[in-house]
Amino acid sequence: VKNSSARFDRASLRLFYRLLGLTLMALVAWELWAGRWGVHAGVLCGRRAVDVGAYSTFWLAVEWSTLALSGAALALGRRRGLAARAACAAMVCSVSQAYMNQKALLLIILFYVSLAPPDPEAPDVERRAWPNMALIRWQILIVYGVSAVAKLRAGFQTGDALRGLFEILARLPAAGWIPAHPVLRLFDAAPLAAAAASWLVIVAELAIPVLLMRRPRWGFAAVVLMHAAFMAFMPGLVVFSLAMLTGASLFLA
Amino acid sequence: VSDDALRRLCRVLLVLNLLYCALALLVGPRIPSWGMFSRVERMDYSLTDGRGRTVNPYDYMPRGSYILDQASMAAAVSCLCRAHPELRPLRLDSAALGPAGDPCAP
Repeated sequence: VKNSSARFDRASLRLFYRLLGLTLMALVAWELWAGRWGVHAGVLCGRRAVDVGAYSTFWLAVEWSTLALSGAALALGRRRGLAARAACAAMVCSVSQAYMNQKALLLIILFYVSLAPPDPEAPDVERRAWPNMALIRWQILIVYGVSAVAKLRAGFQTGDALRGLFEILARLPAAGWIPAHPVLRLFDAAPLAAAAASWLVIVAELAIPVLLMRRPRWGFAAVVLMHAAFMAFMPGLVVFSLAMLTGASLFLA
Repeated sequence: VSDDALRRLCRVLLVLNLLYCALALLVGPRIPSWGMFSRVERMDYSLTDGRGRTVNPYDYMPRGSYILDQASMAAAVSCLCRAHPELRPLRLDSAALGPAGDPCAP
């Protein structure tokens, strides 16, 4: 198993911070486009993890500004520790207002970084162990592993859930790069296709953690491929995919 | 924080993380976890406004929102009742969400 230690090289840490910064900026851009402002203005209906009430659009602007500025600082390699901690605080507020897996994942990553942000430019950065950054690797393995097991337990492999998902995608006002209707027609004509596609997803989610641990470059490529395939149908997964790539980049040490 | 303290803290966090995920797998979708569309309930429903026009709940939600189960559907309809009185009286026909009729009625 490669990368089983908690040591990281400068290049992979720099790449990680750049990707993290880009992901935070992408999240803000995504939320602007998705219309989260309308939720806080009382026009659209959002989803909350805890019923704390939606804060005003002013505080939403503060949250977005904090995330975007922190993201820019991380991407440019400026004041990384401060930026990660500021983004972590803003993400706590963001998750309380609109719960989504992508934000939960980013919050976990930011929290782990904030515990002891490594400075890639420090002379001893490669000699020291960074167990908090190793936790991010663990988190990526956990997400794929839990997702695969949850799917098997829920009977995802029958293809019914995937078909149901495409029914939802067909109702969405913002279609993916590949429209859902032809796929839905294919699943109706050949139910085995839905089951086969479901198995493919489960097998990929089980295989990627193994690849990331044993063949990190192949694993990283598999993460890119799988999430690109998901995004082709579900544009809403862009930020989640970037967050997974950010975490997976730490396997490239 | 010393290196040893950080290492111990990270071990505890990892164990807690794994325990939470195991619990989430046991209790299912009642608590947030990494199910990733593992359960998608079939929802045959029809929602119309006071003029008989079809209402697509996704038109009133931010992009990237998904209604994956009956509870989310009920929450979305309830929000429509609150935020969009101009649509009332709404009519919801759904075997899973109770008798057909106005979901906004008290």
